[in-house]
Amino acid sequence: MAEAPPTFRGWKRPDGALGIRRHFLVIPSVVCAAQAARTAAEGAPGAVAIEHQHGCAQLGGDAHLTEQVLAGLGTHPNVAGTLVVSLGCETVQGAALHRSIAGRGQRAEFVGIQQSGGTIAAVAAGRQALERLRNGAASDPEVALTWADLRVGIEAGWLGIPPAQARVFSEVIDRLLRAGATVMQAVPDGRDGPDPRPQGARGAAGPVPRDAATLPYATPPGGRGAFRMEAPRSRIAQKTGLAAAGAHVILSPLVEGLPAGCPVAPVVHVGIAPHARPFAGDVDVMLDEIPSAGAAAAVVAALGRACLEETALEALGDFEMAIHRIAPTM
Amino acid sequence: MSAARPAVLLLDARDTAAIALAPLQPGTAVDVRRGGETVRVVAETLIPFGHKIAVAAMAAGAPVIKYGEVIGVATAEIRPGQHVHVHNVRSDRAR
Amino acid sequence: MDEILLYRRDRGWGTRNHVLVLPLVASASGVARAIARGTEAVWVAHDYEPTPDDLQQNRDRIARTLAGFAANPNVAAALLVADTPERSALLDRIRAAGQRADLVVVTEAGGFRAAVEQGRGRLEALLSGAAAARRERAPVSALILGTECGGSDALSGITANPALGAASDHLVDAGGTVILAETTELIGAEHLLARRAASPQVAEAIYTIIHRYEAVVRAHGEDIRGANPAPGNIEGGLTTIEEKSLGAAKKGGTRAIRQVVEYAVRPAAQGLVIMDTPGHDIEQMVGMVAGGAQVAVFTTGRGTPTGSAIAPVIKVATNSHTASRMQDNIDLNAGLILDGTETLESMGRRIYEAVLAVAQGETTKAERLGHREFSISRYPFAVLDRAGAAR
Repeated sequence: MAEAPPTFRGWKRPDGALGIRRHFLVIPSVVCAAQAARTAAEGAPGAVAIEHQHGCAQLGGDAHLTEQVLAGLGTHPNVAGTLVVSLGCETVQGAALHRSIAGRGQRAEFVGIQQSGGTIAAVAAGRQALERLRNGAASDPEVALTWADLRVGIEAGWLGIPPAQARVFSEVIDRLLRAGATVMQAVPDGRDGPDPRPQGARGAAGPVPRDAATLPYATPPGGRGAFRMEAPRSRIAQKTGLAAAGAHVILSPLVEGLPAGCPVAPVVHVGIAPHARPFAGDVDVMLDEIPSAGAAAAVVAALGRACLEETALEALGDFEMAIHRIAPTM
Repeated sequence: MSAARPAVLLLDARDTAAIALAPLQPGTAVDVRRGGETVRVVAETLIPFGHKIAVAAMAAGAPVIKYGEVIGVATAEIRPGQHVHVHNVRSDRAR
Repeated sequence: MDEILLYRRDRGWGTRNHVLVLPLVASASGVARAIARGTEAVWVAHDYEPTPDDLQQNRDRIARTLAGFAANPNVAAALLVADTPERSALLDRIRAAGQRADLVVVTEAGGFRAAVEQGRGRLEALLSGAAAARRERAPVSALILGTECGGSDALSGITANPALGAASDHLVDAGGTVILAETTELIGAEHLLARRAASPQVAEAIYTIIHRYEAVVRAHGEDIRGANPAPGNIEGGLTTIEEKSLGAAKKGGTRAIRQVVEYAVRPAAQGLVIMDTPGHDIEQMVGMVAGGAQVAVFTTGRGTPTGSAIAPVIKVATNSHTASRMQDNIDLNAGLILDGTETLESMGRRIYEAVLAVAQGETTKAERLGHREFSISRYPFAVLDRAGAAR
């Protein structure tokens, strides 16, 4: 007998987007405004300030990509309102970023440090702006969402997930697609080096079908279903790109390195044994070398839990951000 | 602004543009000491604070001189008193 | 004044006595933050994540930046936070430089929470060791001054940068070292700098680093405008990169240029040196501090609040309007030169005296506001290497 599909508590935004969180995102348009952004967000309920190293001295295409990523995060369905904090002189102009975010129907505010007369005044103005955003967002109706309303981003694991564990991911993706979810699989650019994964594992962590449409980095899908997304090898930049493309929740196979969260979307870490054994307490699901029969269901359940309630990393306020670079700084 | 401060600053006698030390409204006349002589130019349009006003004529393709050095090339004919900036000057470097 | 009070270390003299928590990879930033929270230690975060396709030149550049930053004499001791044991090579390197340092490896500690607990314990030991340090009499020549301009406007090259140049001359004459950087903001001024090179090799190196960045821009098929000059520069009256550079180069004063060093490399020479850095405000500051700068002067036309977690940054406005509007973030006002109450020489003296006072403990606004911007410059020349290899 079929179970009732799970529902998740969500909100409907002014532009019609459906989200599973109510973040108030504070985006510095340039690294020099990050401190003011952080201070403005401190203590403000629901406020999340992001931190990045960009916005200054960037060449055309690279600056454009940064702006695209920041705009994607600012218009993310999990974000109830966005405050852009600008310095004023930067390459990625804060005022233009704010207009772009507001122009897409997102609740948005702007504060300029040079315009305000320094960081102390900018922080004060930022706090007032956050309050206005909170008041505005109170009218967003609560809705019950199902998998069919959600996009799941999946990070790639380049060190190679052994076949037995890789099959679990294939099954997870099948289950999600059958439930109607849209899946975006980050795929690192194959041109930049030999694939280190053993032959049998090729296609592992890349179980989205080859004929699925390929999205450029940080670009939202035009419809539903399964997609591949071009991405760099950096896992943090993959999370950021998936988030900028509108992933509500992100699945991260932990095959190398440390768990890391994402500012706008909860991250579910699936530890790949043996590497992830030390993180048994930090990951959401541990995949043994010989995964149990219920492993895929457990992963999907963990994804569902992350949609329903705050994850441990979110509670810690812990997340990392990195934006893919396509040119050096000047 | 103190009476002692001049309206424009010419950094070098060879310069073809001077810097406005206060915004210059259109029609404002300023006297500039250039080499041994005084040149009078009339602001053709608003010259914002810190921006450049031409103190010598420059043909299209002629160098724009500031600090006694070439800072760019005129992309159109520039008359004394005109605003000298990105709309009529291009860099010679890094393109 | 030829003696000032600084902290004596094995590897030089410090103007501060910080204990630093430094993540070696981006994903360790959260652990570093959690370890430092609530303690007197300073910490930084960054976005560098090693990947299998990372070029060796990039790994080297990142490694020497992290090592130089952790070993800066302003840092009494450093706690490094790594993801995996391979990073311990950096610990050895930092210790070999004479720095007191310890390491937490998150996978070995047993996960996030365990790493934070272990880190807290090790940090406490470093903090109590650092508490005993006292300032001693040191020569002024022990100072390495970083110079920077950001949010520049047309006044930068007329007031603040030349005044900083005068201060730079004072320090060089006293036997100290001054770093002039931001290579992309020297494009158009290289001939003036090369004239002052102490040797033909230094002159050649000046041309090389500047032409190298131009070649990078061309190889990417991009126009540098927008990156340099930035929109704020243009609003402030700077029209071309040459104009900006001619003003920027004035920060270096008039003395001979003794050496040209790569990003985050400690100068071997005393006197005025040029370091190859991008114009990116934060990457430049980090490069100079990683190269040993214990104090910095940062001129600004439009106003910028940034600083450094481990080195005091003195902000000098180019004009009184910005100095007054952004007084929460500005330390000195070179606009007084235009107002007629200071001359270039007197302002240069004031900046020099501020450098000495700040070196001896007077805090700057960026320090008091807790600015800790940290960003590492990536290896920019891969596109040239590839073009060279293709020939």
